[in-house]
Amino acid sequence: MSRALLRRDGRGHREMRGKELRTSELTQFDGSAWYSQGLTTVVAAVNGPVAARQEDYRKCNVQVYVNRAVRIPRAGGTDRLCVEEQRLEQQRMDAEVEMFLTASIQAVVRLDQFPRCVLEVHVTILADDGALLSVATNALMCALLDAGVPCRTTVAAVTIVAFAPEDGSPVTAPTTTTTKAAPEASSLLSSSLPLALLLDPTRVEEVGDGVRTCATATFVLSNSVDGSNNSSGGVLVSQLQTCPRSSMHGGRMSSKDLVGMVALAERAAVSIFSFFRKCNVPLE
Amino acid sequence: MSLPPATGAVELSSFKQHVIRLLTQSKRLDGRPFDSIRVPHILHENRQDTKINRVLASTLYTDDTGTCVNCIVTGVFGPPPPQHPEEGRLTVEVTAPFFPGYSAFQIEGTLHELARFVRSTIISCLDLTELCVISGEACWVLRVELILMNADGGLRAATLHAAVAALHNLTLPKARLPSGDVVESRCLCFHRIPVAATIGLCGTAGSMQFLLDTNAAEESVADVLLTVVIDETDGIVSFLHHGRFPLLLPHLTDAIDMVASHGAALRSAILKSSSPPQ
Repeated sequence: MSRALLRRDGRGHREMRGKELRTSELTQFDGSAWYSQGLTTVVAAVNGPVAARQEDYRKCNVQVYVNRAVRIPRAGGTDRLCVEEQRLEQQRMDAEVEMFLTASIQAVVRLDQFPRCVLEVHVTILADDGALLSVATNALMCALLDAGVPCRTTVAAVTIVAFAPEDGSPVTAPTTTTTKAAPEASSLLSSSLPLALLLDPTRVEEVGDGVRTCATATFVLSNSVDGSNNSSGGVLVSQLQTCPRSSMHGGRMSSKDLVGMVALAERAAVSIFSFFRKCNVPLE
Repeated sequence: MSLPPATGAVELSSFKQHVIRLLTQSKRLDGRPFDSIRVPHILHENRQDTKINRVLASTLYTDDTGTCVNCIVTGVFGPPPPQHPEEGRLTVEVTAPFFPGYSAFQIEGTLHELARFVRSTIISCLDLTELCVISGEACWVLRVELILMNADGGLRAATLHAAVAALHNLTLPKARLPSGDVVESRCLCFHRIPVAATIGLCGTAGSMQFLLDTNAAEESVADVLLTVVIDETDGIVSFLHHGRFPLLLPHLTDAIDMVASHGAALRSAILKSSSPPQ
């Protein structure tokens, strides 16, 4: 087994997609960032802090608006109910991105320096091919830096998919003949072997095959205090969700797997931080 | 993540200062220890007009400090989703009709995120193929409607527990398809029961204190908030966390262990009264 396992787009398990970043292109905003990882593209624009009226006047308020460039079109006939449900599910995913970005801003920006103000963020999702939360958070971080909003630290967001390793499947297949031993064998196999991790998944990898894909997690990691390149400063925001249909096949997610995911995310954040630093070179 | 606390006539900033002062003295607003949970109580309503209203289950979730969530499950027949023709459909709606003072935009975003969290957690613990009647043609469409009557922190945990209590051992009734075929009654079962808790973390005087099962006042002043959902084998079903400073790995595992130590009590409280008294 010397041949390395590759994904369908040619990447290794712990290889990220190509990153591209453009800042200061939307001139009507104080700061903007166009950021893409692979085919997932997000535009983030920041206005403010500007004076506004709100109840909690001791610190700056944050408003995040999430939109999509392409929405699911409406349909008729018997598919109308299903299409309406998909549209509603997409709107709820926008609300989830909204909550995630609001939590990231509240963790990063020094909001207490701007009482009676509002920081307004407009995020447009141009294309969604997986790892949407991390791409949106990275775009937002670049837009905040471009707007000159004072931040405590810079953050990098990483999305990881955990799935059952392939070594277990040949052993599980013969035991399915004995119906009583099958669930115990599969659960024992899944608990003994650690879960394999995919870094920066695409949409197809996030959805998975319904059997081996266990969970999808997004972590927002802060920069290290001493500025060293070999570690990060800890997890600021995280979100982990197990996939449907996989827990019936023994796909368990334990604390050790969470620790492994965070460790991989910390190593991947170092490459994103260096990418941010390289983009900061001024034009000649 | 949560709605702001209802402070009555007290200003929100003064209320926060009061809660912070109590926490520095190692006290909580309702007098609980730092590692105790509010035990939920589930009430099941028995309706005689089930067939008319299509209501399959109705539960009322309360705990000791006034959180009240009503969960109503209705079921109709419908086409299956095109991506998975062998599965049924489950939709979750969250409404909060008794919070008129808050900004409608913020409430709507919170409720949308809550509905997505509850639905994604439930479908990762429930086999949706049990809702299938005819593969590719007909399936049960379950609509879970969660009404937030009173909220006192821990919204994700409260709504998830209310929905799990309503859907566990739910009986899909014997019904007739429009084509005339008779569908036999079926019992819906979870293959793992999720329980959730919200943990707050306060960095007071250099030391970190965990607050298990935070209320709304503590959530407004806590530095870090974690929501942990686990199953019977203490496996992680869902995990969300955000805060003002970064957390290291021992804090995350400590939070999961803290919820796991109360998982059995929460699970028995949710499932204890799940069978209607008939």
